[in-house]
Amino acid sequence: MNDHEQQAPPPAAGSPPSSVEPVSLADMVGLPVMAADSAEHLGEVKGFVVEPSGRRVMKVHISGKRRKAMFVPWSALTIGPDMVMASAANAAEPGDDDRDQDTANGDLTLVGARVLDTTGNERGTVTAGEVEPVTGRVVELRANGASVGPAQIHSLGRYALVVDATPWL
Amino acid sequence: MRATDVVGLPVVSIDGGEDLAQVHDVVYDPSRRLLIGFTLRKGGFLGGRMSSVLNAEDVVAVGPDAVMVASGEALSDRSDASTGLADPEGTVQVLGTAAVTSQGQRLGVVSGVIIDTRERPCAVGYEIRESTDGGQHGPSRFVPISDQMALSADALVVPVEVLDYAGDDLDGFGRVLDSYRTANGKPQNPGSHRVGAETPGASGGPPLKEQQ
Repeated sequence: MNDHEQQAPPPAAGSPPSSVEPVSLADMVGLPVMAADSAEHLGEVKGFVVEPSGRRVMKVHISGKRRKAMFVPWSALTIGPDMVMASAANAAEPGDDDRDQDTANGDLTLVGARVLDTTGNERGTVTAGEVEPVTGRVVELRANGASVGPAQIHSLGRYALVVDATPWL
Repeated sequence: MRATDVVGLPVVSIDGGEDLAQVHDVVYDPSRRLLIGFTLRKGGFLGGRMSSVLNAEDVVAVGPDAVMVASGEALSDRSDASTGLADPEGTVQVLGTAAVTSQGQRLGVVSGVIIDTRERPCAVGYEIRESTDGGQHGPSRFVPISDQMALSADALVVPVEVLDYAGDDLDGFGRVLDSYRTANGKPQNPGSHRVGAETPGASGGPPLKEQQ
């Protein structure tokens, strides 16, 4: 019959449309940030400014040369294995809102955040996070031995990352 | 869980991940057997009393680690809140009240209000601690709240029939409630849509839990 034709394995269910591997936020911390236009070393990755929904990284917080917190929009970055390339040196800017400042002060963090589910149970802390390199969207977080997907994330604030209880049920 | 276990828990917004306040006190209306809500204080070491209060109906969940609300808008101004929250002192103080049976036997004092936190929090039982001669705390009994109970500033009268269902630990109180309600065939809280024995068993865990 047609047993020759249907042998190609179907694409894995739920795999992202792009073939780009997600990047680990923990692996990015400490990487040098280099400006592609000026070849200038801008600093090292220190942390991530995450939008209030907790589902997308908006900016990378870098330690500037004069120990001044600087921020590069995720959209201006290309993440390589050895360093992070910023499209231009002037993409790095001082923080312009409370969320930037809270991140720079260590009051707001995704990896390391207390995890609280919507039933009021604490679920440890975020131990790892993977994001799509192009969009900065969170693909998966790990907390308390469970995998948390973006649809299960409600918010990230200074107190906690609030998520559904389903990963632990 | 005991109502007093909620005191000190942070109130956290689901849409923001922020701690908006800490629970200062639990306001309970014994005559209607309803948990009305919570008075609040600011979090932190020197947290003062807040003018905001939290109505029980605006609570999404009460867990061992936090009271969850949808957003900061769940907190309401004290003057807008229902009468019990505007004037918490106006409600009957139930903790410390003497508990006696309907046949005139002294049981001890009410040492806790047990609340069911699965959905809208409500009161489902009393913890009654035997008072011993030496003034020390004796063992506790957990009795389901019943329509036939009478409560005043002087005493809580527990019908002897209800006493048959009393449990001696909080962990087993969910089963106590279920057997009491099955035997009596009616909901405990007419004002509440949630009754232990009839709640779909999807949640898995026991309805009442002691704080770890």
